[in-house]
Amino acid sequence: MTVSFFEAFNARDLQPVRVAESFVPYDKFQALTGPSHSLLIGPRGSGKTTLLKMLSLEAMRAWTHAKADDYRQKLDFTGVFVPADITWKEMVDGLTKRDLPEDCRDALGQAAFCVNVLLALTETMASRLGADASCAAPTYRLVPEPKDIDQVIGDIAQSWRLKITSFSFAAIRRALRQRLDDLYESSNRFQFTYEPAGRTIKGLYEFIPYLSLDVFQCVESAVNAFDDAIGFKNDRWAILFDEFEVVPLSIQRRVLMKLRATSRKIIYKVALAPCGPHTTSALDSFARPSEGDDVVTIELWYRNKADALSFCQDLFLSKMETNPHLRGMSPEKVFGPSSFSEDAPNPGEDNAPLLPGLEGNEVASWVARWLPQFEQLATKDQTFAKFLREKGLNPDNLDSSQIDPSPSAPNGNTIRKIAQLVAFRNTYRAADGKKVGRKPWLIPYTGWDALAAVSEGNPRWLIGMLKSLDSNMINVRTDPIVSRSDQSEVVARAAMTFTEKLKTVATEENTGISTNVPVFELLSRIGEALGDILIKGNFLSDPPMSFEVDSAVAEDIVDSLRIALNFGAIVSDDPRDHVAGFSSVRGKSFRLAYMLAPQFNLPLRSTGRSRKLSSLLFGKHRSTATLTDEQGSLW
Amino acid sequence: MKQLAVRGLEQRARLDSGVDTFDLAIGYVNDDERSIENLRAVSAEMAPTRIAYLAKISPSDAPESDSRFGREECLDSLHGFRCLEWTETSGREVAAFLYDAAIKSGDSKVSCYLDVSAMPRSLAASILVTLRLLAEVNIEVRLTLGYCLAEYTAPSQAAMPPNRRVSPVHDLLAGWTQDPSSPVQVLVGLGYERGKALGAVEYLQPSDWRLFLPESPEERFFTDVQTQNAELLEGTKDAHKFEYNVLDPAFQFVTMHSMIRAMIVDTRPVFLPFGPKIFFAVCVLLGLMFPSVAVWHVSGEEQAMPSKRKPSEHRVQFSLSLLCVELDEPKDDNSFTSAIKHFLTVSSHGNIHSPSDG
Repeated sequence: MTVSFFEAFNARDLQPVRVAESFVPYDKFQALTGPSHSLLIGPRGSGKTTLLKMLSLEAMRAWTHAKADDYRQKLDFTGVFVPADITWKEMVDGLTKRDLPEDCRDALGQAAFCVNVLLALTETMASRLGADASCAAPTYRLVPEPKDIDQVIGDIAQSWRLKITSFSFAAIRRALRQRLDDLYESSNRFQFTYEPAGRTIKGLYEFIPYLSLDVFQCVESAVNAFDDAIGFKNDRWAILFDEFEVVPLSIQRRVLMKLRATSRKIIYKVALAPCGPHTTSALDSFARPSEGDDVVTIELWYRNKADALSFCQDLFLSKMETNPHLRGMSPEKVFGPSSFSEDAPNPGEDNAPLLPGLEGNEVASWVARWLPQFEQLATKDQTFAKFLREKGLNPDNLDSSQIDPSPSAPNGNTIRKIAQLVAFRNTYRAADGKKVGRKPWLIPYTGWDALAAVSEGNPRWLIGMLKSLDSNMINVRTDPIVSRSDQSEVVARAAMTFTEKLKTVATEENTGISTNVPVFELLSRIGEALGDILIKGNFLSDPPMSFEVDSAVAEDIVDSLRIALNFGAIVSDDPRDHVAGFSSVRGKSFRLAYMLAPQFNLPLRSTGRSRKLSSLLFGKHRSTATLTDEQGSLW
Repeated sequence: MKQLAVRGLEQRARLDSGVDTFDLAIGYVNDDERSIENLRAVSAEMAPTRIAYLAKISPSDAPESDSRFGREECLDSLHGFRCLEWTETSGREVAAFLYDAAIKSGDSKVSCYLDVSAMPRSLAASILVTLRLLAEVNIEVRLTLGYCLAEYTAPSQAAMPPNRRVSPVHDLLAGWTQDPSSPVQVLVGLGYERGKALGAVEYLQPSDWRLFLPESPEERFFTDVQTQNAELLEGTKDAHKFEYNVLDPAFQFVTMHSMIRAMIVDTRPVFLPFGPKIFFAVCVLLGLMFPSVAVWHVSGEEQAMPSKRKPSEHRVQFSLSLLCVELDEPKDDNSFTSAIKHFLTVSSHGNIHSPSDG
C-alpha cells in the first residue's frame, strides 16, 4: 500500500527510454503531437511528464508500440525535454533569498533556468548526430555529422558565452555544468560582498556577465546554427517544459507570451498544474494566450467517468502484457461489471440508456436484486415512502411490477435512476433517521467500470491499484477473476492512502498557493455534508453530489480548493476559464474525486445537482457577515 | 566555496569540567525542562560566554500561563547565561563574535558548544551555517553538539496541525546540482508526528527514499515511531530501512557520510530529518559538507511537539572540528573569502559579550 502505491509509476525520474517501454498512445497524446504550441494541464499523476517525455528524441527512437512508426512519421519536430521539479525550484530559490531586490532574483532564476534548457538542448543535438543501435528506430532523426561541426560548436559556445576545451557537445555540456557551479558561487559571493542597499541589478550584471543572456535567443541561435550545418534549415524543434509551474514567474510569463505567436521553427509544449501562479491575476492579460491563438490545450482529467473508461481499458491491457496470469484478458473479465452498471446514465454523461431493452429474465434478476433495498428503505424512511406514493407506488406493498426498471414501465426511468441512491441510503440510514456507524460498504466501488471511475483516468492511480493486486488475489477459475472482496480491499487501500496524503498536504507556498485552511479538513467537511444530505435529509431523487464555490466563502477556502484541484482531489464540472487552467475556482462547480467516495460513503455518480459551498459548510440562510466571522474562526 | 571537511570526531556522555572549554556556549530554552539539562553543566569556567536563546512567548500567553511560567522557571536555574531573543541578525552576531575570538586567539581556532536538545530546527541550521562560514575564512571551529534524550511522552492525540510548508531549512542548505535531470532521493529521519514524513515525501515525489528509525533507551519511542509512520514503512523496501542509535551521532555521521558520497554521483539526495534534533544536526553538517545535498524541514512542526518534556538520564556530547580544504588549485582571486571576512568584520556581535569582556 502507501507511498509505493501512488508512486507506482512516476515518469519523472525514468529515462525516456524506460517511459517508452510500456507507453500506449491515446487521444491526449495524439492531440499533443501536432506541430503547434501546446498546454498540457492536469493534476498530479495525470501523466503530464509521461506524455512530454514521449515526445523527446530518445523516447521516440526507443518506442516499440505497433503505432510507433506512424507517430515517428507524423511527428514534425525534434523534442527537447526540459526537466524541472520542486527540489530544483527550491534550489534556485535558495540562490536568491537573501535580501535581493526582485530584479536580481529574477535574473538569477532566469540564468539557472537558461542553463537547464541549454543542457537539455545540448543532449538532444548530440543525439541527433549519434545513434544507439539498440533502439527500435536508431536512425530516427539521425543526421550525419556535418563537416564543419567544430565551427558549429564554436559558434554555439560563443553565443552562449562558454569557454570550451574541445569542439564537442560533451565539452559544451561540461561548460554548462561548470556554469551552474559558478552561478551558485557567484551569487553567494555577490550577496556576501554587498550590503542589501548595494545589491543592484547593474552591479549583479557586472558581477556575473552571462546573466544578461536570453534563454530564448540562446535556443534560437543554437538550433539555427545546427540546422544550417546539417542542411535542414526548416527543421522544427519543440521545447518540452515539464512542471512549468515551478519555473520562475518571469519565465512563465515570457513563455506564455511566446505561445501567442505562430512559430515555424520553435514550438513550446508546456505541462502545468490546473492552478498556480500562471493562472492567477498576477499574470497580466497580455501574458495570457487566448483560445484563438495557435495553442492546443489538452486537459488530463475527465469530467465524466465514461470518458475515462476507454483510456483505462487501454492502460489495463498494456500493463497486463507482462502479467502471466492476466495477459490478454479484458478488464471486465478480471473484475466483472460494476454492481451498479445497470444504473441509469448520469445526467450530462452518455445519454444512451444503459438498459436499452432488458429482456424478461434480466428484468427479473434486476428486481430480485433491488427490491429488498426498496422495501427496507420504505419501511424505515417516511420521506422515501412519501416519494414512492407521489409516484403512484405503494410503499407498504412493493412488488416486482412496481419497481420494474424497463424504460417502457411507468416509473422505469425513475426506478433505475434512484436504485443506487436507495441502496446507499438504506445501508447507512437508521430507522431514527441518523447515520448508521458501520463498516464502509465497498461493493459499490468494485467491478471494472467502478474501478476505472475511482481512478479518474489518472494513470498513476490506476496503475497503483493494479500493482497492489497480490498474486493470491488472482484466480482464473472464478468469475470475476479477482473477487469482489479483494477488489474492495484494493479500493479501500487506495482511498485510505490518498486520504492520508491529503491530510499532510502543505498549506503554504504549495505550487505558489498559500492558505490557512487545511485541505483535507475542508474536503472532509464537504464530503460529510454531501453524505448527510444523501442519507439523513429528506429523500431526493437527485441529491447534490457537487458544490458550487459561491461568493460567500472566504478566500482561504478558495485557495485550499485550488491546492485540492492540483492534487486531483476535486474535479471540475465546469470548463476551465483560462487557456492555462483555472484562474479562479469561484463560481464554478466541483465534485469530490471518486477516489474519496469510499472515505465519505458516496456513490460514484453525478446527479447534475450542486449546492452552494457556503451552505454546505455553514448551513443555509446565513448572512455574509456572519459567514465571514465564522470562517475566520473555523480553522 | 571551499570544501568543508571535518576531523577529530569524539563522543562522550557528559562534558568534563576539567577538560572541556568553549569560547561560546549556545542553548535554547523553552518551557521544556530538558532544554536546560545540558546547559546546567556548562559552567562559567568552561565557557566564559554563554547564551540562552529563548523560545518566543506567544502574545496570547497570559503572564501566568504554563508556557511563560515554565520558561521562567527554566531560566531561573541557568545562572550566568545571557538570555536573548533569536532575531534575523543573531546568526551574524554569533559569527562575528567567534571570528573576533579566533583573531584574538592568534591561532585561528575557536570552540563552540551547541545544545540542540530543544532547539528549533531552523535555528540550529542557522547557527551551523554560521560556523561553516567561519571555516570558509580558514578558522577552524571545534564544535560540540549536546543532546539530552527526553523521557518518553506519548504522541499527542490531538489532531495534528497540517504541514505548513515543506522547504529547505536554510537557503544555503537547498542543495546545488550540476545535473537538474538527476533523480531525487530522500533520506527520511522518522519522528513520531503522524503522517508528517509521509506528506513531505509525497510532496517531493522522489524516485526512491530511505528511512532512518531512531532507537534509544526510551524504547517506547521506537514503537510509536513505527505506529505513526506505518503507511510509509509499509511502502518501503526493507533494505531501505535503517535503525540508528540516537545516542551515537558519531556513528550516524560516519555511516551517512559514506552513503551520501555514493549517492551524489548520480542522484540529488535530500534529507528530511524529522525526529531527534541530534540526528537533524548531523544531517545539516553533512548538507554543509556536500553542497549538492539539501536539508528540508516542515515548518509548523514545532507546534505539534508536546511541551514540558522531561529530560532522561541519557545524553551525548558529539565533538568535531570544522575546517575548509581546497580540493582544486586555489583560485586566483580569494574574493569569496574576502567577502565573508568583510561580512564578519562589519558585523557587530551586538548583545553577545566580546571575548575581552570576560
